[in-house]
Amino acid sequence: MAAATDDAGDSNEMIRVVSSDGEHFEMPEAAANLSLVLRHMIEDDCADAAGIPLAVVAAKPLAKIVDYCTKHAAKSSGLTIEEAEELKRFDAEFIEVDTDMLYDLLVAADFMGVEGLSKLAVQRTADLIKGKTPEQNRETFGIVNDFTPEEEEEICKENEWAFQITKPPSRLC
Amino acid sequence: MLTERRETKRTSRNSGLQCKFTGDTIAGGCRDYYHPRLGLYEESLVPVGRTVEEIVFSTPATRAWSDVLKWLPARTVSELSLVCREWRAMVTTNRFIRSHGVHANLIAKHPRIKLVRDLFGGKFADIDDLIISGDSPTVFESTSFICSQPCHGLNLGRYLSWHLVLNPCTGYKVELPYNGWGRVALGYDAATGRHVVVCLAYAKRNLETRCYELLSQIMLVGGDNEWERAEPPPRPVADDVPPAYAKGKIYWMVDSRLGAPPSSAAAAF
Repeated sequence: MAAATDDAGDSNEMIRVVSSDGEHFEMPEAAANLSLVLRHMIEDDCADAAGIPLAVVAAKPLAKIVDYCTKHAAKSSGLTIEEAEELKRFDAEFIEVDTDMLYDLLVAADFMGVEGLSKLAVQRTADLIKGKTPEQNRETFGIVNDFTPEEEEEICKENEWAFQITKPPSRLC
Repeated sequence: MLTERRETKRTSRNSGLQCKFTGDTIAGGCRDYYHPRLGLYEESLVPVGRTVEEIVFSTPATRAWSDVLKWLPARTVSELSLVCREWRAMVTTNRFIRSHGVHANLIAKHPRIKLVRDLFGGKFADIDDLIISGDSPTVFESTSFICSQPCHGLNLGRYLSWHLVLNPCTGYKVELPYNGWGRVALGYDAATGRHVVVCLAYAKRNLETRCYELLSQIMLVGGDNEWERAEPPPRPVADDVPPAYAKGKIYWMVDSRLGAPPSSAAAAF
């Protein structure tokens, strides 16, 4: 119990993390604790001055994630209605990013186990996918169509019922 | 368990030993220049490496995409299987189908209701969409369409003398071939992962002598679409009460007017 109180008292301690491309970032321990991976590393005393290396997270998304965690950790408990509203506005603005960044955040949040951010990125991505044809989705997310035309036709036939509203890509028909 | 086995393989290679098939009885007699001998084996599909599912889900990107797609409606997901090989491989794994089933139904705050717009064209309208859009569609005629409870994602529907197995989310439907009809029920066999349709009909029934002859036919959904004769249930069933599916079994009411005097009210098989 005493140890727990000490930890809480030490929450202004800074945790260093290193991106896959070697950039260093710092955030308060309370912010790092929002990531499951970082929390486990801290609990296991793996957080030292050299910083925790994050092998699959590049500097750009990591900077955003540090921002997100810092903001959310500062306002984690006992929120007033105004503060909750402000946090919601922050989230809405935060996730207004291009699809490349959104994709990076999606993967990074999943990897680091930042639940709130994961949900935010998933929701935003799902909203972007909805109501689009496969071709539009490929364009949006920069995905290469690696099916041969024959395979594509086969799948179209197999799922015929699913393509009554959205027609299969024009190059087939 | 598997990692351990891989580990052993690697160390034995590093130490210059070669793997030989030898029975336990001759253990110790195995040297590099001995030829392989007979060993015991079992018929098994247990993989040495990773399963296809593990390979598909091994990249962080696939796991992230699967997190997104599992929240989308089934119809959207089936369209998205056309985007690229990676997505198609992912959405067709059992792991994804299971987690999609959990999540896509989780976000619904009330029972999902669909209206039949065109049964044979497989067109259904979600009542939530209709409320949002304010549309009032022409709904499938006035003749009643009788729909069973959902059974592992599919429903059994009856309209006039047609029986259909359908998935109202995707529009998938199979018309059952005519077999004289009786009481038809839909079940799901978790062991084989297949839906099964059962049809029970009376060939003979005499309420005075309590004699009866019950015919039982079954059909696998998505198979060759042909009925097969099956062993009839041990008790006479009431054909005026709809059967119910629960946890791998189809329950029918027993017709107390037939057969030996009843001791319980329901039979399961």
